[in-house]
Amino acid sequence: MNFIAVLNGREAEIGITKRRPSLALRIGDRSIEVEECAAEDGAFEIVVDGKRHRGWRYQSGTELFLRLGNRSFVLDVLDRHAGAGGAGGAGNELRAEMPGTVVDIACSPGATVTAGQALLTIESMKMQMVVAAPFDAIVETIHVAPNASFERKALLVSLKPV
Amino acid sequence: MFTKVLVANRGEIACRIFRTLRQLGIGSVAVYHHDDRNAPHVSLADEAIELQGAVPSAAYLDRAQIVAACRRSGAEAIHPGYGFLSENADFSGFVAESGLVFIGPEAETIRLMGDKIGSRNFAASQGVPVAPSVIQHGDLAEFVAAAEAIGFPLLIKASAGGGGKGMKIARSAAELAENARLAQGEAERYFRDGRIYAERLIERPRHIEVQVLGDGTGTVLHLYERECSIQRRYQKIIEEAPAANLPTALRDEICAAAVKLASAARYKNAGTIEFVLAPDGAFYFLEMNTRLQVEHPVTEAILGLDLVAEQIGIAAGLGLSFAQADLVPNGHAIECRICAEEPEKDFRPATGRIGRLRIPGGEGIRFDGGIREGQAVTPAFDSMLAKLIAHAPTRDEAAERLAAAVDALVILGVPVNADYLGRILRHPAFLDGQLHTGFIAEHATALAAPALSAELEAALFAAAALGDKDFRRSIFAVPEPHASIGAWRN
Repeated sequence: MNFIAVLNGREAEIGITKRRPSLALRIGDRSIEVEECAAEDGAFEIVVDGKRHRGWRYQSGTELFLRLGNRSFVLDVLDRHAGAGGAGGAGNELRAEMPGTVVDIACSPGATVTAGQALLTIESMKMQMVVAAPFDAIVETIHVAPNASFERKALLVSLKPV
Repeated sequence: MFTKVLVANRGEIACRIFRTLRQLGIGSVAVYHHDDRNAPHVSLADEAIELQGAVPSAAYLDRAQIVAACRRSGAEAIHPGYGFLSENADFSGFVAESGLVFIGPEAETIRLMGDKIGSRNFAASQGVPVAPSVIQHGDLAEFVAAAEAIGFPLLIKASAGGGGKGMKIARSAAELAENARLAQGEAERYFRDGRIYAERLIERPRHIEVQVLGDGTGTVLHLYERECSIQRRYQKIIEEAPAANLPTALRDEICAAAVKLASAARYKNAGTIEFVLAPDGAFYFLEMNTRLQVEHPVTEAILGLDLVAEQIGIAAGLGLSFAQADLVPNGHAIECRICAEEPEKDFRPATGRIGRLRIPGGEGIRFDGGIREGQAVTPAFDSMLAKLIAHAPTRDEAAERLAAAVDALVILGVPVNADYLGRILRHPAFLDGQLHTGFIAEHATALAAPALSAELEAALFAAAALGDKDFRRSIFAVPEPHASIGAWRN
């Protein structure tokens, strides 16, 4: 059984290549020897190719938070049943990265917009942000209304590249 | 002295005030919104009263409910913390009219010093330098024309503003027109006061502020300066005391200006007078915060005192517990603000649930937090979760101590800026004291997350896979003798 995760946009499939005398994993096209030991205080220690790292782990849904080497990371754990898809979704759909409300809509359906052009102003955690066109496009659909609130990952605008 | 005090706030500052109340032997009352019912500030107080209302942040702004809660609990005074009602003149007045004590200035003082325009005029009238500026009186077009006459670059701000909200920079006439319109809209929304003003933007400015304590009779002490030049989105994220490489004569001049201003206002409470310091040594009054500041712990560290205890003593009519000559700074303290945000994505606020929390300790380390494992971080409140403060004999040692503490801090379940703060604390320009409010923009490349080594990446993927139940099972789910995996332990 393989495990698939995405880190910083890089997807890797992890499989088991050897169980004894020690565990070996294949990560993408790389093979490593691994040993993991439970450490105190909720931490874990992992020895990869002889080098010891201390870390902490917490998973929430498909998001896996890891602290390792004094740095924190968020990995996306992909659902094996859904097949490998990668994170982020289709580039033609602009989605909310966090919950918020719509302050202003600066475009209309059918409009031609250029890369960087402001499409919406949204507000999350008392901060206003502009949602800009990532590329030259035609605005297909605006999925939100002024003052409407939306959840994380909600579809805001659909674009058609030109 | 009071027998019981209500804290009209939440999060780390409420927790911090409760600590002092306990030390002083004063009873404490928390108020909370339903969403915060499991928050640490609720359990730290002797008693807690729920505030009704659909919108969490609105509950903490509901002055009638808060005063009613105070009465019900038998508390004699209200400490507002920072944010929320702390600089609301009407609230201060309402508390006083209700026969209770507001631990802060009187309404009149807040009205005078809390308004950007009013306080600037007052500062100018007291001979405290202010930057060239223009105020909007009516028509936006007239304002734009007058602002243009000052010369670019310009900074546009909300008159009633604070915390950088509604602040814009304009470097050309076109930017000025557009940003003035935007700033006015934001000012309306955030402060229900659309008045804005523009002032000459000082390039590479430092943010230097002076902590003052006034007893209300005109006696004002300064508790030296803090430097808060490390900012993102116009909000401070690293503060320190004393300011790095500040010539003594200039420090004395700035502190004297602050005392002069606060004395003239017959200031009562702890307060902070903020200045912008230009590279040529010229300094200008920015604004006054008539409340406890987020960054007050660095001042407490170098002077070995408790500002909340002083606020309470002043409000109780006991005056100040020390004189200016008693205040001798010792060592250096640096604070960093741990925020739920993603520095790599333009410091965008993040939400989630705190799944793992490990708080660092050690000599000279202070952690002021209001968080616990299992707590949700929602968009309902400010993104600051906690503050980490280090105190040491020298600035270099304080930076090193704080960086080590940041390394040891574990918050998982919501992205935080801790690693980013660690990189600032180790940056050569920071260690050299070359600070200005554009520091983060200037060093953006060096402060970006370092590339992942192939080794660390492999360790991350391996740790991820080994934490997965199904994957783990598949390691063991093979018949003997293959299931024997040597050194592998669960």
